[in-house]
Amino acid sequence: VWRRRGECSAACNILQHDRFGGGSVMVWDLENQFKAFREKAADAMPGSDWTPFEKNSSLPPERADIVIVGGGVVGWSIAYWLKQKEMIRDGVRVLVVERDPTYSQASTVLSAGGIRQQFSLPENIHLSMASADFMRNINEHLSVLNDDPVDLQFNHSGYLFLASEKVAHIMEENYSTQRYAGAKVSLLSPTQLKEKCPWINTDGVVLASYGLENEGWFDPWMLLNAFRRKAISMGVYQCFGEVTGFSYTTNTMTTAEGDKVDFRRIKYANVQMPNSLEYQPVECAIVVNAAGALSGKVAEMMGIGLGPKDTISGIPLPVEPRKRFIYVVHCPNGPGLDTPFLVDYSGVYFRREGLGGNYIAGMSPEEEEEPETNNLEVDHQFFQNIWPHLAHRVPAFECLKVKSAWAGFYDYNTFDQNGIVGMHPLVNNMFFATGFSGHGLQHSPAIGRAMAELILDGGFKTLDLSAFSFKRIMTKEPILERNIV
Amino acid sequence: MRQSCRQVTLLAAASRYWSSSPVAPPSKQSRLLLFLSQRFHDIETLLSWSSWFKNRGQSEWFRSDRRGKFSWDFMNHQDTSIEEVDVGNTLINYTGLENLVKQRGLRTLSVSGCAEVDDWFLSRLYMFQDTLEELDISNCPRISVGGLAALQKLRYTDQHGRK
Repeated sequence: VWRRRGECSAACNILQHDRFGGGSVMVWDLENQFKAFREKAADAMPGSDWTPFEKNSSLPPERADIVIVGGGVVGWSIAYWLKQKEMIRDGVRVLVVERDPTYSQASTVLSAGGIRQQFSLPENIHLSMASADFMRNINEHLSVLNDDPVDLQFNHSGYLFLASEKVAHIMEENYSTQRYAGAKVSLLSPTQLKEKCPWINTDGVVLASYGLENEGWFDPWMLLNAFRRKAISMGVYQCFGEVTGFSYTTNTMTTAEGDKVDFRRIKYANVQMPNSLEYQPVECAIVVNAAGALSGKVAEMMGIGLGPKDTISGIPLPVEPRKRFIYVVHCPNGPGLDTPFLVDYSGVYFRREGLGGNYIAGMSPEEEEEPETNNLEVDHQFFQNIWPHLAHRVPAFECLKVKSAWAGFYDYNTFDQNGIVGMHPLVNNMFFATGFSGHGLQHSPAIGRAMAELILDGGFKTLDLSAFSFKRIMTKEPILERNIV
Repeated sequence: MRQSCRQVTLLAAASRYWSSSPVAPPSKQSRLLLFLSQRFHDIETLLSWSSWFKNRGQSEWFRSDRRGKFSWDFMNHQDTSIEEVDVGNTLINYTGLENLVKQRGLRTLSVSGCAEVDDWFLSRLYMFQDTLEELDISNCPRISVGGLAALQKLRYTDQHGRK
C-alpha cells in the first residue's frame, strides 16, 4: 500500500516540475490516479500476483493456467500456439519450465536439423508438410517488432533414401502414400540416380526416393529461439527450474465389473530452483509434458506406470532416452553443394555441413548395441561401424578425417517410435507431446498447433492426430512408422 | 497520375470480368495474363504490366506499352506454350509460381531484381527441371546458399546470378 501511494505522489511531482517549475501547488494528474487505482484494485483481487513479501524473482508465478514441462522446441512451440490461439488478451497464463538454461543436453539443439516428408504414415507426412509451410512463412508468424527477422538457414537439398532389393517394395508403397498425401517426392532408378549424383556408387541400390520440395535441413537453435522470443513477447512466463513433483487430488471410481479406478487431477506442480532447495508450488489447471527424453520420469511423478501390473495405471509412458552419435568428417573431394541428405538402407546417413567440405554422418545402432544413456559421451569406436558403409556408398569418402563428434538423446518411444500426443486417460489434466523418436524437431510447429487446438478448442481442428493418442498404448496396437532414421 | 490510376482500375476491372466469363478452351496465355494482373496482390498492377512473355515460334515479346496498356493480341495464339518469361522487378513470390505451373515448355525465366524471391521460390523451380535452360536470379537480395543448393534439381540450366 505504501508503494502505491509513493507512486501516486511521484506522478504528481513530476507534472508539477514540468509545468510550473517549482511552487508548492499540488497538481493531481487524474489520469495517473485512475490508473494507479485500477492496478491497486486488480492486485487486491484474489488470483493476482501481489504478495506483501519480497520474493526471489527467478521463481515462477504462484498460479498459472498451463504449465509446460520442458523448454525445447516442442514446448516453446506449444506455448507460442497457445498464445496465438487465445481468444482474448491474457486469456491463458502459460508457464514454460526448463531445467537447463544452457540447453547443454537438450535434444533440440543437438539434432541434425533435417526435415522430410518421406514417411510411411500419412499423419507424419501431413505434420511435416504443415511444419514446412510454417517455416516458409516463418516471419509472418514469429517476427517480433523492431527485432531481426528470423533466418532459419534452410538448405533445400532434399532427402535421398536408397533401397535395396529387400525393401524396395516398402519404398514403393511409401511413395504412393506420400504422393497421395501431397508430398512432392520422386522415385529414381539406379541409372537416373547415377546421372543425378555421379559421386554415388549404386551397387546394391534398386530404387531411390528423392524429395523435391520442402525437404532439407535448418538450424534448430534458430527455430527454438524464434519460438521462444515470440512467445515471451506474447506474454509467456519462462522459468528455469526442475519439476520435481506434483500435488494431485484423487477421485476413486468403480467400473461396472467392480474394479476401482483412480482418477487423478494435478493441482500443483512443484518447480525447484537449480542448485537450491527452494521450490515453488505452481497452482495450475493443465500440465503439458513436453520434456523430451525425460518425459518418462515426469510421467512417473504422477504415478503413471506405478499401479498394479494389468491395470491402466500400471502402463508407463513408454518414452526413454536413447543416445545417438553424430560425427563431423572432412573430405576434400566429397560431393559438393548439391549433396542431399542421404539415407542408405544400411541405416547410415550423412549430409553436407557448411561449404568447407565438411559432412555430418551418423547411424542408428541395433537394439542390442544401444549405448548407455547416463551421459553424453561420444563413443568414437562406433564410427568404425559407419565408415565402411559410407565408403561403399560414396567412394570419395574412403579418405576422410573425423573432425569432431557429439551425442544427443532421442526421446525414443519404445512402443512404436511415433509421437504420443493427447491426454492421459487417468490423469485428466496431463497432456503429452513427446516420444517423437528423432522427428520431434521437424514436426514441432504442427505439433504445437495441434496441442493448442486440443487444449483450447477441445479437439484437433486442422490435423487429426488422434492416431497418436495414449489409447494405442493401452490397447497395445502400435502404429509403426517404417521409415525411421 | 490520376489518369493512370483510372486506367489501372479499368484494366483490373476488365481482367476480372474476363475471368468470370467462361473462356473455352482456357488458353495458357490468357490464364497467365489474368493471373498476372489479379494475383500479385500489392500489385501495383502497374508493376505486373512491365512483365514480358514470349511464345514459341514467335520471337516477339508481349509486353505492356509505355502508357501501361496491354494488347490482347496474344489471345490470337491459343494453345501454344510459353517459352520465356521475364518477371523481373515484380513482387512475384512462392505463391505466384502457381500460375506458371502449367508451362511445361518454359525455357527461360528471369526473376532479376525481385525482392520477394527467396530460397523457397528457388526450391519450387524443380517443376521446370526438364526444360529450363536459362535462369536469371541477379539482384535478388533474399537468396542464400540454401536456395542455391536447391537449384541442382534443374538439369540443363545455365544460371546467371549476381547478388
